[in-house]
Amino acid sequence: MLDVLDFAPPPRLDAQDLRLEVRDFLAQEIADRLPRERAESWNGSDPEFSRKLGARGWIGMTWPKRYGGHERSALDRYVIMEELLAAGAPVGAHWIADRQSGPLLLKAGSEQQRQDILPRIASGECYFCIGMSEPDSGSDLAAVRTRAVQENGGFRVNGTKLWTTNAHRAHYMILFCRTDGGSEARHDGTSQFLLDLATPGVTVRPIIDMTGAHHFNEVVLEDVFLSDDKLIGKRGDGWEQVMGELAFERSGPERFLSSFELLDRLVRILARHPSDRASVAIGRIISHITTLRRLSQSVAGMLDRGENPSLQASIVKDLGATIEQEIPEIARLLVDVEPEQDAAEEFAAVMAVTLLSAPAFSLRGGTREILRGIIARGLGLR
Amino acid sequence: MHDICEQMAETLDRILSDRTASKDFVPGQIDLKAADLLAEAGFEEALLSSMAGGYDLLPSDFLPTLRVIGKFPALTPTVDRMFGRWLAGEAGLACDRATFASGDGLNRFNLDIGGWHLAGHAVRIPWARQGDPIAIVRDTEEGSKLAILTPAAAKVIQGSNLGGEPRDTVTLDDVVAAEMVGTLPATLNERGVRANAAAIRCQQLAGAAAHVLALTFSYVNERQQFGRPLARFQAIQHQIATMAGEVVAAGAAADIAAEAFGVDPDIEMIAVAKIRCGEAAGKVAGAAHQLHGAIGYTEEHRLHRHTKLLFAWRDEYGGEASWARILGEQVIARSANGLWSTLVPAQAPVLIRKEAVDA
Repeated sequence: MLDVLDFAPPPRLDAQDLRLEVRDFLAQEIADRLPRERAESWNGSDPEFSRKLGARGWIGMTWPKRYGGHERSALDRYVIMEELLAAGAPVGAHWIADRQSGPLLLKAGSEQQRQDILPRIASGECYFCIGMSEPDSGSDLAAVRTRAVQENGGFRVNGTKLWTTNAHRAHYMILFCRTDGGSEARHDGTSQFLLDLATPGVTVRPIIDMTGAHHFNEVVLEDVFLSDDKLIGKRGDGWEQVMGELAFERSGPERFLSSFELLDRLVRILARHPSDRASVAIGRIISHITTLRRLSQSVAGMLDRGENPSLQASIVKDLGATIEQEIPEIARLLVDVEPEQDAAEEFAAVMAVTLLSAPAFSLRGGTREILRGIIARGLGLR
Repeated sequence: MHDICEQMAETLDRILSDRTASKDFVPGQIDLKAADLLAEAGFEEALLSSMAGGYDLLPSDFLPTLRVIGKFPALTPTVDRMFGRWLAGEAGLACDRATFASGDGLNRFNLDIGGWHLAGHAVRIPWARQGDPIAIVRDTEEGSKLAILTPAAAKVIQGSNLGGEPRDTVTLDDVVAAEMVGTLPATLNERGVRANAAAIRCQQLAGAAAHVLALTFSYVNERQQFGRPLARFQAIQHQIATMAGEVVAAGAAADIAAEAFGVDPDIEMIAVAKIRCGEAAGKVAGAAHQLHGAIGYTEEHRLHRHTKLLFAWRDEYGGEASWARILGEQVIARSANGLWSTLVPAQAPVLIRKEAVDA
């Protein structure tokens, strides 16, 4: 039963040229980006930057060329992702489309959907949001109430999506909703649709998060008509598809690089004021991050081989969120600073951004409790 | 894993399974019968080259097999003999058996009339009481030296780690003949040797942590309270999930250690590994005892044999704090202009091979 805990050794990342290329690119493109902005990590959004990445061929890297992709290996893509995250580049506009919406369409979408959408994602021009959570359906995703009722030539959709990151900037939503049965049907009877956010009946309202920023939204769907060709994959396969999407969401390097800017700024300060206490604390964090990086690469290798590492991805995300939430607390013990988002001093601002972002690390993409449930089930305990 | 290494892991498992199931086996005691069986199966030569009587195995392939040892309550000197033999070979010394010993506590290690004069208290020497030769390492002005000697029984003060493995103190005032003292490669100085020893303990820690999870997993499925197995309670499930995460992290860290082991060990990577394995050991042991309840806290239950070894091994050859100090100091010193390029260095492709330069 515990064999599932064997992580295959990660494939070697040999892309030194690519790594240097992206570092040069970032040194030019985001030289002026302030540490407090970099600390927003993949919440930072800049469509112009996304288009430049697209022009470099660094979005949709692994996809077939006929869909605008570049047929690079998953490991080349991994190198790009971790370099972008470590630098605090503003990748938020295209991040979800590149990470999970594109791969979902590639796997389950129709030929027309792929041809229509994927080249635009790859060029850094087309952005997605995730239509999973609802007011009464957070961790309990199978309780979704948004319903698509079949009618002539398509579906009529009513419902509300909540906590929808970037709905106000995105062009499309991958809408997860119920097509058949009632809530008692649970995983059965759910489907996914490609929803153009400009469709009549779609209203996007801002939800301000506790950092004061506008990333979340409420998306209300009132009698929205979706033609049959907007269905993604097969009617009723929604649950299986959504779980596949989450494996992509849970295993990437964002799971140990969300608070990296704070760690970087902290270490720069400690380099000027070395102490034994600081060395011990930083050494421990580096140990955790280095181990997580290896595990994350191992999961990338599993995804690349077409395996389904949802258990392993959950373990990586749980371990990653745990150490990432410790980092600001450890930083507080090493450097005396009063956090303030608008502080003149960058470290105080970076600390504020990270402290206020950290509670979300173990919520987004599956709460800690959901992940531990998945792990327990994977081990045969449920 | 290499085919031969897979076979060796199976052999190790079979020998220790048979041995710990036999009538004369006493759990938690020094088991020299198991040690003899493992020696016959070639485990003491496992790190040697074929020219020296070994099998030319890569440490990164072979070392992970040592995790099997963590599954059994049999105490044997096998890994420390294996490491001692490897060090003797690297120092150009021939011997049939030698147990690794740190020369930390020696205050004298110098050339004298008739050979090398070693004096002082060598502390926490694995298995010195067995009368095996010990391979003792010390940095000297003439380089890093390895001396092989057999301490007189009268000079051995017995001690042990928490798991019951002998960790003896040897009082030396001996002259060792020059032919039993060799020079180690510069990278195998005391620091490098200690790192390699820590890399081996990482394997044992990862193996024992995985086994403690397996024991706990079985227990929560068997034990019933409130009319159902403990495994049905969500609080228990989440603790098991947390333990699983720590076991996975320890396994990955031990893999890092196995790859970093060698004549020129990657000391920072071994630091990464020993810190993470040590932290996982404490968390896994703590959760295992919590989930086993009172039964796991008794002498008669098997759990404590493994948790005591976790508590012992995590502090041998440097606990989390001492390795974190080394790692943190070096990383911080190199990161005044940013951390990422320190952690993930990128170089332009090397056009001239290292061998060509050396030639």
